[in-house]
Amino acid sequence: MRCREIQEALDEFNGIKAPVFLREHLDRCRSCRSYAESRRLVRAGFKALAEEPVPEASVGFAARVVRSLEETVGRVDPAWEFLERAGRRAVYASLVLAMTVLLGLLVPSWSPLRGSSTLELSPAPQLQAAESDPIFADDASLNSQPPPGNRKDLAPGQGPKN
Amino acid sequence: MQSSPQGAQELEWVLRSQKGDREAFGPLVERHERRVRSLVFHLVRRHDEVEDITQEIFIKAFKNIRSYNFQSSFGTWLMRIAANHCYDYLRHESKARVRYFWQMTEEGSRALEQTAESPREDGASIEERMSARDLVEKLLARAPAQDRIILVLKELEDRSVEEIAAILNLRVNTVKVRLHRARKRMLEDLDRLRQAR
Repeated sequence: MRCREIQEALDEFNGIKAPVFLREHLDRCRSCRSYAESRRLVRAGFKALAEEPVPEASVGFAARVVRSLEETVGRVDPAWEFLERAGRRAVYASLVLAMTVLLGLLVPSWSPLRGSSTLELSPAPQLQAAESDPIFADDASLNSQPPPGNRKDLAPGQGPKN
Repeated sequence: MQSSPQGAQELEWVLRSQKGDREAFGPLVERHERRVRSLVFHLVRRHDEVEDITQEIFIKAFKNIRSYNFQSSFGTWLMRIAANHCYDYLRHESKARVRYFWQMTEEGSRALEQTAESPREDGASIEERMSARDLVEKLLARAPAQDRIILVLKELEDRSVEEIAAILNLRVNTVKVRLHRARKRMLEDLDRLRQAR
């Protein structure tokens, strides 16, 4: 075992008689022996400190604490408490709403979260591209119009004649 | 939480205190005051400050009692508040801000060396002149607040590693590692003190 492990083991045997392998190592290792001696000294010091009596509380300590609570902590008004609770819930609700809106804005249209309905509603990609192109914009708008036979904006008799 | 009649009584006091009943907090103070005072005394080591700091801890506990969620015992929760309060005190109180020997300024270390080399005829070692108790008290006073709290909880308060983990809100293994390091740093400080002679 290395010295570091020996020293850690000495901590484990805090105040208990060390096993043979530790004592053998201590017999031949000056550094670990010094560590063990220091450890023993410190342990004795801690023991002496722990035996020191803790000062007693002055008479009426608890009553004094309760009295000082009246000065430092105001009485909790039930109405105020209700408002506080309601306010906290309103804040949480607003946060959830804000998160939902944000999520709605951030999720891309092609995301599966949006569903296929979005895709169906949007015009065909080719048509979109054509509409944005200044040269083919007119053609695109013409193509998007319903076939002549189906046009309802024309009065009867105004349609193309065969 | 607790199933004993004492525990049930305490639970009732806690619940009433959480609703703002200050009178219900009184019995909780009476029940836990001694343990809190002991921790404060061992950490701060100043008789004149112990009472005030203990009172501050209970006031802080009452102010935060609604955040107590019954996951640990009330005593453990209270000790956590006490340990945190003392930690802040030790960090901010200039008198407690003493350092390890090797971290001291040149002037500080010279002063300490002089103390160690004070006149002696019998050739006694520093440990013999300064009793083990005084020596450990001095070493503790120089220890960083984090080391001091963990050492006090283990060596003076005689808490188990599991209890320390609950109080400091750490994992058991973390407590073991920190404890070992704190002990080692203290012994290194003691060695340096010896070598300075």
